[in-house]
Amino acid sequence: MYEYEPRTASLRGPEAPHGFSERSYLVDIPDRHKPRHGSCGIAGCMNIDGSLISGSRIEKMITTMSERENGLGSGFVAYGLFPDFADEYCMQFLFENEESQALTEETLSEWVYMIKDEKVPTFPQSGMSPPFPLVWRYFVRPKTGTEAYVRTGLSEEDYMVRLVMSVNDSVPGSYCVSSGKDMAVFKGSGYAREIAKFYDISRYKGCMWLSHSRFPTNSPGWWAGSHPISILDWSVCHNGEITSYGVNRKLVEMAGYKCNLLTDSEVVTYLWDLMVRRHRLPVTAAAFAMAPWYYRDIERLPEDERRLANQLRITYKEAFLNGPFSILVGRSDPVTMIALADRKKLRPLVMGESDDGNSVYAASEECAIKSVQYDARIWATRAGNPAVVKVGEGIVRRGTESPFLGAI
Amino acid sequence: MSDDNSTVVIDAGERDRLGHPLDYRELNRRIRKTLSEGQERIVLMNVMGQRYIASATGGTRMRIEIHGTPGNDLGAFLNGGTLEVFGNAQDVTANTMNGGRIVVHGNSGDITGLAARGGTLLVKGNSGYRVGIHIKEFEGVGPSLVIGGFVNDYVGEYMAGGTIFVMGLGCTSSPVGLNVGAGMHGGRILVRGGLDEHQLGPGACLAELDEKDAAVVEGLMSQYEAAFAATIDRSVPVLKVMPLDSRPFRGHYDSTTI
Repeated sequence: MYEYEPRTASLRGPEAPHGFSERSYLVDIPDRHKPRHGSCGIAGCMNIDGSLISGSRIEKMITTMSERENGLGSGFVAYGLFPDFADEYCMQFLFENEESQALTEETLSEWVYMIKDEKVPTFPQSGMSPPFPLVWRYFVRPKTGTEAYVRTGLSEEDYMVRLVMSVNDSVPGSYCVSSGKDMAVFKGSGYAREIAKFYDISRYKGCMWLSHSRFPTNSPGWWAGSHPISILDWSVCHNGEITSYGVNRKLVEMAGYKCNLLTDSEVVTYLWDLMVRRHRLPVTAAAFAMAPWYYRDIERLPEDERRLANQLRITYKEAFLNGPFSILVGRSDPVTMIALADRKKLRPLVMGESDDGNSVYAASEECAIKSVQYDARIWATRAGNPAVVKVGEGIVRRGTESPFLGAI
Repeated sequence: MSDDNSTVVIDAGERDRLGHPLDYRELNRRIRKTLSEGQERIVLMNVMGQRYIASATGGTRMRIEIHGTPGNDLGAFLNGGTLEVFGNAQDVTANTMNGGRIVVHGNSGDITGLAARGGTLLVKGNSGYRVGIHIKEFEGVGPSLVIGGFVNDYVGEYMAGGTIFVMGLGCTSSPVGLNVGAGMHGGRILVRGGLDEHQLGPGACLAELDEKDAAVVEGLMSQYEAAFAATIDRSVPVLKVMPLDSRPFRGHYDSTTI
């Protein structure tokens, strides 16, 4: 059953709220978004030597899988994007109008020093429905010297998380879509090819790109709810449903995160930040907590791994993501791509590697990889088993190893 | 009709006027048109993720070569003829295949052979999760799915008939994952290279091959060898996974069980 009442009037009728933060539900979407196949698409590419990749490469990957989307959301994230401002937090916003921008800037001035700000160039496409948000970028430095900062008792990163949560929660019509160093998220409501043109993705170059094309099922399609969903330098592209959303949400909310984006995928981003940055878990342990083995299979692990597995299941039982998913996760320092499918592999995920081993790819379908690297060697990760690739280090895990390799 | 002159080449790599790759509907329309004109040998070049290729087609002399990466649901509802893929196949290859033959010179993705009802699938390399789930047979006609390398968890889940043969070529450990034949109530899963009790799903058990099984194994091995010019070592033992019961849910839902 659909949770939402179907609306018969036009999506953008006079009674509908006016603005980009308006939401489209699957039940009342116009014909051009009517599903043909269903399921989201994810794609990622990176160069291990850190050399830059044009955005047109990731655009080609994600649009090759256009059967997977229905035009209600798409997005891109690039890492290694701002070498001149690599030490500043880059906060990228979607604003409803000038007023929400002014209110946001007022808040920002209390929390951070503004190093530089600029309008993100956008090019509305004929197929997309207005109104379009203002997209603005701020390079900022937290005001860590002030008494107010000291009183919070927060680390610099937690301070930035609180700022993002506070803006998203309390400034009307303003959403911070990315807030990390040397990275930015470009996302919106539309087909992947439209969003790529809207931001002119080909003008950007990064050492790693992740992207998503959306087919929203149980949550609305709208600009800020599109993927990648990002906090600090974390970004997550997610294909699937998190049926345990309520439990996961409770865990992240207890840790100070606020869920404002109306999508289950949001909790995945906050879980990575909570477990790996704040609790300092190794990536493999965090991945195990999200996609744990069955107890009967844990029994067959060697003793030290069995103990660790049981402890993770008990300590982080609220971090267990129940339901089908495959996710691509990005973070910087060093730029890292994590690809993970659920413990039964109910969503597709394949990896690819160029012949010289320098370019690594991940995607929902092999054709996305082959469309940009025809000679790529293809492999599939195992269920609940993360592939981890780092700039400067290479393929740390292929997603076929024993669960805690490198964690004990 | 079968000489080389009558082979029709379709380039799936061409772009439409907007620069997008050839749509799967257009590609399949061209395939059906070619078949309806009596041409039964088709070569598809530069295939890049187009779905449903040759779905619901048939004809005993039909032969379609696919170069590139075909999309999901390759040969869905196939009724006859041969599809040969020079590359890897994606997910849900041979979905609900009724007959004919699909040969993949590479790997195939998850859910290969979903709910197949007949025909033969030969995969040279490995396959993914849930291979051959819910395949079935009727009056002695059933599908044969042959995977040269390994498969992952849930192979043959809810299987009701037919044959899955996992050969484990190039594998150093068991070529099947966990939950083998979970909930199966018909058919057989043949595993060359061994598996452990803990890999069996509920409702499945291990058995030795009988004479009929041995003949099936030999037949499928010969087909694989012919298709991929391979030689298979006959000394590696083959085990059979079969259902504990042909009606495992008897009495669970209906108290008036017969």
